[in-house]
Amino acid sequence: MALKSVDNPRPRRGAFERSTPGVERSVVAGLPGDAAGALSRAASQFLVRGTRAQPLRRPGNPFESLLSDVDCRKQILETELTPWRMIASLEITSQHGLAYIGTGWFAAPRTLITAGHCVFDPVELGGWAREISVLPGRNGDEPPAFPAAASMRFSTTDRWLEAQEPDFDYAAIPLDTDLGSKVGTFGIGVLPDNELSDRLVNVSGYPVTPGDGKSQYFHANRIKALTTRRLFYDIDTMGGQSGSPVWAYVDDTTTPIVVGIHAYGVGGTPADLHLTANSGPRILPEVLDVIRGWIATGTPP
Amino acid sequence: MVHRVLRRGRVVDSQGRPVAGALVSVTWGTAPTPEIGRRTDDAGSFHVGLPPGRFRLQAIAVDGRTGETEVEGGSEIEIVIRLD
Repeated sequence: MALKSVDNPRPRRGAFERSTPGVERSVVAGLPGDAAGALSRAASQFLVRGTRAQPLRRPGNPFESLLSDVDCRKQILETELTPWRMIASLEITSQHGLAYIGTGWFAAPRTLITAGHCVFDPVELGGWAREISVLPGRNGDEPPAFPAAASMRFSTTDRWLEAQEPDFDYAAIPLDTDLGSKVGTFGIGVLPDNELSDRLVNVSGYPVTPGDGKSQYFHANRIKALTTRRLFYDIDTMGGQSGSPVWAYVDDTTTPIVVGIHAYGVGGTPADLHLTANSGPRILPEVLDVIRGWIATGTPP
Repeated sequence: MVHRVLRRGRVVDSQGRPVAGALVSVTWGTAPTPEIGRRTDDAGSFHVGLPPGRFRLQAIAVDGRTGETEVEGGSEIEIVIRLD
C-alpha cells in the first residue's frame, strides 16, 4: 500500500500509487553537516551496532516505559556534536494554547521528521499544532549551539489524519531555513525483516524527566519484535521522546540510518504480541516515499 | 487508535495551589497513549487524551517535586495530581 501526504493549512490530494509493500533494502544516506566538531566521546562509548540475540539487559517491570527498575538512559552532554545535534527538542503549542514537548530529527536541510501526534492530534492538540519551535542539539539551559526555528506548517499522512492509527504515527515539520545543512541529517533505511530482527538500535530524545524536556537522553538495545509496520524494542523512553529517531548502523559504516520513529510506551504494544516493549512505526518503502515527498516539497528550487 | 477522551487536569502543590510549568506524562497504561509531554499553564492546567483502561500519570515540577496518580480512562472527570 502507499500513503498520501496531508498538509495542515491546505490539505491536498496525494498521488501515490497503491501497491503491496515491499521490504527490499533501500538506504538513503544522510549528510554530516557543515558545523565543526570533533568526534563525540559519547558516540564512541554509547552507540550500538550489529545484532544480538539477547537483550543488552533483561527488562524487569512489565508495565513502565522504563523497562526495568533501573532507568538506563544516559544524558548526552555533547549535543553540539554528531549525531546528537541532528536531534531537536520540540516545543509544541496546541490549538488551545497549551504547551507540549516532543522530539524530532533532521531528514533533510529543511525537513524534520517526528511522530504524527506531535503535529496533529484531534484530542490533545485540538487538531493541528498551532506552532512548533525546533531546538536542535538543545542542552539544558546552556547557550544554544545552533539557532532555533519555528514552523506553523506541518504534514502527516492521510492514515494518521483520519484514524490516528499507531502504525502510521509520523509527520514532517518543514522549516524556512536549512538548519539541517549545519547540523547534518540522518540517513533513512528500509531494511527487510531478516536485517531488522535482533538489530541493535539507538534512541535519543528529550524526555519530560530527567532534564525538564530540555536535555537529551539516550538508550540502546535490540529490536525485540517486528510487525508489518512497527518496531518493538527493549529501550527505555519517557513522555517527550515521541518522534525520536530509532537508528542503526548497517554495513559497518558510521552513518546513522533511521529505521523507525519512536512513538509509544508499553501500552502501545498489541496484546496479542505478548511482549513488553516500547515501539514506533517502521520505515517501509511507502514511508520512505512519503518522507521523500516531504523533503522535495520543502527543498527550494 | 482506540477512541480517546479529552481529560482536563491540574497539577497542585501540597496546599492545593496551582503549579505552573510542571511536565506531565503517562508512565503506565493498559492501552496506547502517545509518548508526548505536557507542560502545565499558569493555572496548573493540562490536557491528556485517554482511551478506556487504567493509566498512571506523573507530574514533575521545575524544582524537582513529583507527584503521580492513577486514573481510569474514558471518563471526563478532572484529574488532579498533587506534588509531594
